[in-house]
Amino acid sequence: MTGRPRAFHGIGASQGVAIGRVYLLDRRRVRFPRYHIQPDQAAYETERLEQAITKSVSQLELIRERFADRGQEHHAILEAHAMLARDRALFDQSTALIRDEHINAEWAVSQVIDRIRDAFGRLSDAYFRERRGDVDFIGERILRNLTGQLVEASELDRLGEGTVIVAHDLSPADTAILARQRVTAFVTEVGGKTSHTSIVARSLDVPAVVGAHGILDAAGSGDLIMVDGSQGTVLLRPTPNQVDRGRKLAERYQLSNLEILEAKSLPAATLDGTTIVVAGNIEVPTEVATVLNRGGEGIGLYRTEFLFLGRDTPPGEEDHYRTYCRIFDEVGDREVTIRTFDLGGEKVFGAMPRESEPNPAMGFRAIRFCLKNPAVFEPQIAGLLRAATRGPLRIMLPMVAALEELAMAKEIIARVEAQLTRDGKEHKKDVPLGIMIEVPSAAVIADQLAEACDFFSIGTNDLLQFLLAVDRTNERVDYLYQPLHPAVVRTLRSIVGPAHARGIPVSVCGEMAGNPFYTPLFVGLGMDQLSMNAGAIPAVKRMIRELKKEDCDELCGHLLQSKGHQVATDLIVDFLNAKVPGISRLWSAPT
Amino acid sequence: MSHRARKKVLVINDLGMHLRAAGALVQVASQFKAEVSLEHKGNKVNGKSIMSVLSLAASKGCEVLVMAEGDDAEQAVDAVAGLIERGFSAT
Repeated sequence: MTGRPRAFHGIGASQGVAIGRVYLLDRRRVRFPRYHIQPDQAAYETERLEQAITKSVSQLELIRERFADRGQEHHAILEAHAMLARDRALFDQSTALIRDEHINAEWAVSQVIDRIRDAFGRLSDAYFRERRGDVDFIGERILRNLTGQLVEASELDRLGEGTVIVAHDLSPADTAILARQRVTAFVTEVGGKTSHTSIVARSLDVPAVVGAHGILDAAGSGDLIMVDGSQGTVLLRPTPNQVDRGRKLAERYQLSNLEILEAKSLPAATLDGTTIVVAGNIEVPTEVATVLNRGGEGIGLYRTEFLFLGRDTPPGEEDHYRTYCRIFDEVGDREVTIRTFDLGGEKVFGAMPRESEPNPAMGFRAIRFCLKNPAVFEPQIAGLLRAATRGPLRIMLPMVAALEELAMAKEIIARVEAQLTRDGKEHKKDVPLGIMIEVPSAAVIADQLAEACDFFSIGTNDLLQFLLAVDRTNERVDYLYQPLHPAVVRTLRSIVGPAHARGIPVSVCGEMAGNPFYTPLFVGLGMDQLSMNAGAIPAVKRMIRELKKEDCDELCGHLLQSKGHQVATDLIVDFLNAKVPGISRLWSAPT
Repeated sequence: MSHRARKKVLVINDLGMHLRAAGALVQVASQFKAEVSLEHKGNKVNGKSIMSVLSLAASKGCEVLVMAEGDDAEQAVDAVAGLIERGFSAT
């Protein structure tokens, strides 16, 4: 393939790295002819429209029957799409335009679709407003059937291996078909972590990047493409060097069945007998199965923001309770750590955006927001205390920066607990309460915080960003984002020490935890648990089983004294080459 | 004289009359000969059209008036109102 390499940055929606060939699925506006007709042609145009609608309905029904047996949800959505296509309002309004305005069927139906989608666009409720997307998918299908330009199951059904789907957006019908294919990765121009494509990609355990603006115009079918769903980057037509790096990264995620089986059945214990819990990070309950299949020993971080998205009002106690119970239905008696709401409210509840904050990362969010918004926080706490009767649940508060915040949260928990008792609702008392350590001030007073809670979990992403004063998304300073800066290593040490002295466990749940290159550091520091995205679990478990705690302690001593990130990186490279030469394909040094 | 029936109900399920719920409602309404319509906040729409039902944007806590006109109007209203009252779960 010719063409210059190009990079796109989007949102990493599903972990992993893949290299493959582009398959363009262009679902943007269909081109169609517009012309006026003679009055006596109206009957013919109406008949064409009727046939196109019948065809669309039967296609959607066929897709539903052939592809959508997995889960009721998809099945029901496709059923609703078939009903949208055969909706009388759509047909009657279109035929009225054909008859009265003397226009052809394509023109008429597109006008009606535009009218309906605009009406949805004016609704104030975010969920109903987004249904215009569904209306668009239907309109597009009918138009393609009218003009005979349909890309369909027959084509999507025969994709070669190593196919990377590149699209503006994917309809439920597309994803239903693609879910059965050996698609290597997904890239779309629109969407977020909770869009349809993202959820399907995560449940299939293939990498995906969404929000890669402009890629549809730059990519050609058959182009080589590299998708890093962990970083949210896409490289179109990568250079041979980039491909080499990518392959190594990809191998980490594409482990053999044997290794995955091993990860499932063997504990993560070092050669000299130190055991570390390796757990999974999830965003929706359906991801639990993937974590367990990859050998995860529990859920170390359940990000509950998904529960809050796409609604106008915060979820109620029952919503929380039922969702958390669903997780326990799957994990059994393994431990689940649930983090309370970690965003600012105005982004989520569809309220009018307030004055935007100049520095949202340090703004009104997470625990700061929750303490001031009992309508958001209290139902969540109530749901958590009730779900804790179902299994070992731990509550984790994000972004705690001061002892007072912890004290205030405890007061609220006590109040909610008393209310549950008065209401006679079954719940658990004294549910373990811990905090995310992701603000440097919390790290500095780790000794005081350790006296006041039951566990720590270190969120390395934010902690590094705040500690090093580096915005990772700013290309001019991202070279200063140095996970092995001695300040980082020493800070980690200063968190673990006081925690262990007071008998509380420490886990790491940031991106670093899922990178086997840093595993020796965490073993040396004495971390009790590492929690990561499902895809990374087998490699990290394998790494732990190859290491000796004794060696890692020694390495850690050197890292604490290193003269900088590069020196420290070389120390780990030398250490891994010397101590675990057999598994060099499992890791690569960060650049 | 054709029969008429009407009943006020509350949307109780969390997602409101969302895509799947609207689909289920239209399926139920379409089983009857009577004309079925829904009214919410002054909007009156055809209960056998999924697009129209969705356009009501009836979320949790909304009050909806179910109306029918025709021979089997009472049965139609009972069935549709019942579905909404059950939060769109199967009987």
